[in-house]
Parts: sequence; C-alpha cells; structure tokens
Amino acid sequence: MSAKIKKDRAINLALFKSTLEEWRYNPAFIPIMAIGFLFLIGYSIVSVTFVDAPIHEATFSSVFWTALPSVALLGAGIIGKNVSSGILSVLFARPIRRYSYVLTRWLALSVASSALCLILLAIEQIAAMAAFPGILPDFNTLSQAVARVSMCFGLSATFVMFSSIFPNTLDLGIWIMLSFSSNLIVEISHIEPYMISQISCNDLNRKITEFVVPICKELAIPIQSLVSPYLDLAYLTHTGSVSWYAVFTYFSNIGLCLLIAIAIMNRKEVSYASK
Amino acid sequence: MSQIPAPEVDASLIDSSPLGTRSPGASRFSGIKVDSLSKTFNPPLLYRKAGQSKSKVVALKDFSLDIVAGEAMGVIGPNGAGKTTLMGCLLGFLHPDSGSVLIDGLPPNSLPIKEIIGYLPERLNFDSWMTAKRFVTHHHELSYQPEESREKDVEDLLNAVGLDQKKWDLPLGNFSRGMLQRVGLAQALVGKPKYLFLDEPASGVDPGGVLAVRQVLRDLKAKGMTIVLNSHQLDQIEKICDRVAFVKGGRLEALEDLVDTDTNRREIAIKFKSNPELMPSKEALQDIALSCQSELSELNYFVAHFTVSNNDSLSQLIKMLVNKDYPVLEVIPQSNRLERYFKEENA
Ligand SMILES: Nc1ncnc2c1ncn2[C@@H]1O[C@H](COP(=O)(O)OP(=O)(O)O)[C@@H](O)[C@H]1O
Ligand SMILES: [Mg+2]
Repeated sequence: MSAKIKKDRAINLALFKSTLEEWRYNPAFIPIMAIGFLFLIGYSIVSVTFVDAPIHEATFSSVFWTALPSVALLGAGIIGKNVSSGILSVLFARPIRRYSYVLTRWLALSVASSALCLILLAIEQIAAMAAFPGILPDFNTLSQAVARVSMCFGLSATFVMFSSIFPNTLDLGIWIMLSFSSNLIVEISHIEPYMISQISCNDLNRKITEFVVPICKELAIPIQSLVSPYLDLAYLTHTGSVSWYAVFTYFSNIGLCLLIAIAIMNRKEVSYASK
Repeated sequence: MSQIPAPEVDASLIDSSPLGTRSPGASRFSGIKVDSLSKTFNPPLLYRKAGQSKSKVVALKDFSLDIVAGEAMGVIGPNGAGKTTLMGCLLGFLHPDSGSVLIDGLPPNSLPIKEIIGYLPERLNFDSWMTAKRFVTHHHELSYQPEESREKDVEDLLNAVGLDQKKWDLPLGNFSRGMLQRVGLAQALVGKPKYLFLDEPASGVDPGGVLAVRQVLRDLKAKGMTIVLNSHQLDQIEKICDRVAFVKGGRLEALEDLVDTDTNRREIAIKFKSNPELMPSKEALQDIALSCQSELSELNYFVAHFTVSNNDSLSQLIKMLVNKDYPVLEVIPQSNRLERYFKEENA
C-alpha cells in the first residue's frame, strides 16, 4: 500500500469508463444511432432550405427534440436496469460508495448525450454553411450549444432520479407521463378568468376551474423545469444582465434530483433480482 | 510475506455507519462477528396477491456466529433456510431488522472492509456485454489494484479458475452457468481478499471445474484467507472447511467442528471376504457391536453396516473383528458426516 490512491471520490473513473463502453457495445446502438442521425440530418437540411435563419434560435422545442432522444435512448433504465438485472451485487461488493455510483452514472449519461447533441449541432452548422456561403457560427449557435448541453445534464438528472425509484426502463414511461401532464398543466394555466365563464355554463364546473387554474399556474413552471430543465442563453441575458434566478433554478433542480436519487440508492437493499 | 492488506481503520467511517452498534473492544476482534441477526422480508406491495397478503418471510432469526480470521466456515442447510440472506447481511447488502455484523470491528458497508472482501453471488448476473477478460479487468480497476500488474493479474486469475483461454474474449452473455461460475470466482479473487464469500460456487460446474475450484480454495486457505462458503456439495465443504454451520428456518441449528473428527456418531460398512464358512453370524456381530458402543444396523450377505459412536468405538470394533479372525476386507465410510443433518430432516 505504498502509493495511496484517493478512493472516496464522487466520480468513479472505472465505472465512468465502463458505462460509456456499455453503450458502444449495445447491439441496438449503431442501427438506432444511424437511423436517428439520418432523420435529424434530413430534418436540418430541410429546415435550412426552407427557413431563413441557418441555425434556429434556441427555442424550447428545437432544443428539446434533440436533447430528449439522446438522453432517452442512452438513459432509459440508467439505474433501474442495473437494479433489476442484479448486477449491483458484484459492483457494491467493491469499494464504491452509493452516491458515487449515482453521480458517475449521471455524469456519464450527461456527457454522452451532450456529445451526441453537439455532434448534431455541428452537422447542422456545416449544412447551413454549405447552403448559405459566408455564414459563420453566431450567437444562435452558441445558445443552441448551451441550451442542448444544459438540457442533457438536466434531463439526465431527472432520468437518474426516476430510474432509482422505478425498476427496469420504467423511468422512461414515468417521464413521458409526467411530460404529458406537465403540458396539460401548462395549457390549463393559460386559461384566463374571463374565459372560465365562457367555457362553462355549469356552476360546479366553474367552481372547479376557478380552483384548478391558479394551482396549475403555480405548478406549471416547477414541473416543466423538473421534466426538462435547461438554460436559455437568450432569455438569461435579455435584460442586459444575467438572470441569476433562472440559473439558480436550473442548478437546484439538478441538485434536488440527484439528492433524491442518492437518498433512495442509499436505502436500497441489494437483493437478487426479483423474477 | 503476507499479501493480504490490513484494513485501514478510519474512525469517521465507523461513526457514520448505520450499523453503529459497535461495542467497546469489538474492533480488536479479527474476524466476522455476527450478533443476533434477524431479518424479515415483507412481500413487496405491488406483488402482494390476495391470498398471501400477510405472508411475511422470516429469513433469519436471532442468528449469532463468530468466524475467526483465517478459518474456512461452511454454511449448509435446506433450500430457503436463509443462507443467502445471511451472506447479504454479512456484505451489508441487506438491512437486518435487528442485530449487527462486524468485520474486523467495522460494519460491512465501510470502504476499508469492501477493499478486503471478495464475493461470488448465487445468481450470476454480470454485465453481459463484457468479455470475461474485460469483466475481471473491470473489477481489478474498481478495487484499485495496481495498474502495472493488471494484465498479468487478470490472466493469472482466469488461468487459476481454469477458464478455457479461447473463451476469454467472448461476451459473458453467451456463457454457460459453469463458465460464469469460473469467471465469477476469478472476479471474487481479485486483489487477494482477506475475506472471501462464496454462495454456491460449484452449482452447475462440471466435475473438472469442481476439482479446480476446490484446489484454488485450498491453496487460498493455506495462505490464510478467510472463507465463508455456502454450498450444497457436502463433500466439498468437508474437504475445504474447518467448521460448518447448519442453518434451518433462519436459525443456527448446529455448529460442527470438522477438524475434530472424534466426537461423531456415523455410519460405516465393513466388507468381508465372500466366504460363507468364515462369515460371522448376525448375532455374533450384534454382540461385538454392543460391546464397543456400536450398533449393527444391517447385514447384507458379506457387508455389515454399523453405526459407531466415535473414533474409539470404530477402532475397537475393527480390532475385535480382526482378533476373532473374521475375514475383514475393507471399511467403507457410509455417509458423509454432514449428510446426517439432512437425513434427520427427511425422517
Ligand atoms: N428479496 C427477498 N424478498 C422476499 N423474500 C426473500 C428475499 N430473499 C429471500 N427471501 C426469502 O427468504 C427465505 C430465505 O431465502 P435464502 O436466504 O435465499 O435461502 P437459501 O439461500 O438458504 O436457499 C426464503 O423463504 C426466500 O423466499
Ligand atoms: Mg441461497
């Protein structure tokens, strides 16, 4: 025991490496990636041809639809699959802390999905530069990059949290359900008081609506930022100074998800897979 | 020179432990101290069926056992006795309802302990995409073994458990149970652990593999490794272990010292030459047996079965038969001495 290695690290290097490797060895990985990329490249060529701006502003949907497939593809069952398959019994016999396991899986997922999103952005940029000679990467490119990477890190934390609660790849299902209901809540929260009297002639309905809408208004932002947190560079700086509140919300969201995941993993009993 | 690293005792790790029930002085004990463990499994809410809504399983009940560093402890018992649950508690994987486990005075979940243990689980669920070599290398990395010797260590381990070299670079997903057992054992041995926990290491392994495993374990034991071995292969337990714990219904029913062979009642058969004229009568044999605290249980032509109460009574029995010029040919041990636990069970 001469050379003393620090063993109590938050990120376990061996596990980080093997997590990245696992995706590469997945037999379904290459075909799915190929199809996904072809589709997205086609999409970006079409949008470059039909839309003026070569790289879109970092709108929610443009960010969302590149970050989500990357994270969902790599991250469904990021912890739940390990729990269900029973491989944790050999892993946790090694000197690795539970929180280190959670943080390492999260970081690997974030890094890998961010890489996919950035590769895609590079392809879009190259396509744009080919279609519009003289165009260079601009603020939109930068804000797309920031938004995509931040959403990958945020979504990864959300997936890690759900995955530590639910077995197998059920986390994806739960996430999709929550995502739908958050959309619904956002829609409801747009209802204004004067509309209520128009949609409903029934007194009870009106009462319920009057009760539900304010709650939805309160819930809309937290739920949406839980389901898909990201940093919008244009929004953050639109007043001329950085909106620290939005930055804080984003990071506290990730922190909370990871803390919950760690607390759950710390309590979890490692038992053989329940078949 | 001992190659087994001593655990680093870090006080902060002891205090933060959930099992912080350490009694003063316990940290001096080198070995595994199991103190009145109890563990009940509640059926998971989702899987609760109508009829079984109240079926709790008491897997361990007030289980205490001390395993001294350097000894090989066998654990036997019928299916569902709680052997694997005991392993789970020893490794800190399960939270016991009450009681405690201390390894070298530390709770099993502390990092210094995880550094000195090796574990082969009963269910061989390994990362199926890894090749055998990658898997053992992965665990070599995870346990912070020196990088310089990584390649050589891994190859030595795979050779030691007798895994065919042609299989080293195949993914574990394609392995048979016996092959997985060998890879799993190689994994457990990474870093020459001070404590080795093996849950059914021989099930599904071919006879050659059983012999290889036995040889490996004997070598390790000779080097001072502490082994806890769950097995249904009683002869393997008998050939490796110093002591054996018989577990049934979650309780420690018996603890037997296998090194000390003197105290045991057991069955033997004595074979005589097939010559009817020289053969003693049944009555004669019964008399002789009685006079040396034994019992004739069966006489089958030229083979007599006796139950002897200990080693002395056996040697006395043989001496008397020979003295009377009966044509004794050989003495055959009838049951493996551990089998009787299971015989009583069936009776
Ligand atoms: N994770 C678990 N959940 C519920 N019951 C369990 C679990 N693990 C073990 N049991 C039950 O506890 C008892 C003891 O099991 P186990 O320790 O695996 O026995 P053995 O290894 O001696 O065959 C069995 O009745 C088994 O069904
Ligand atoms: Mg078992």
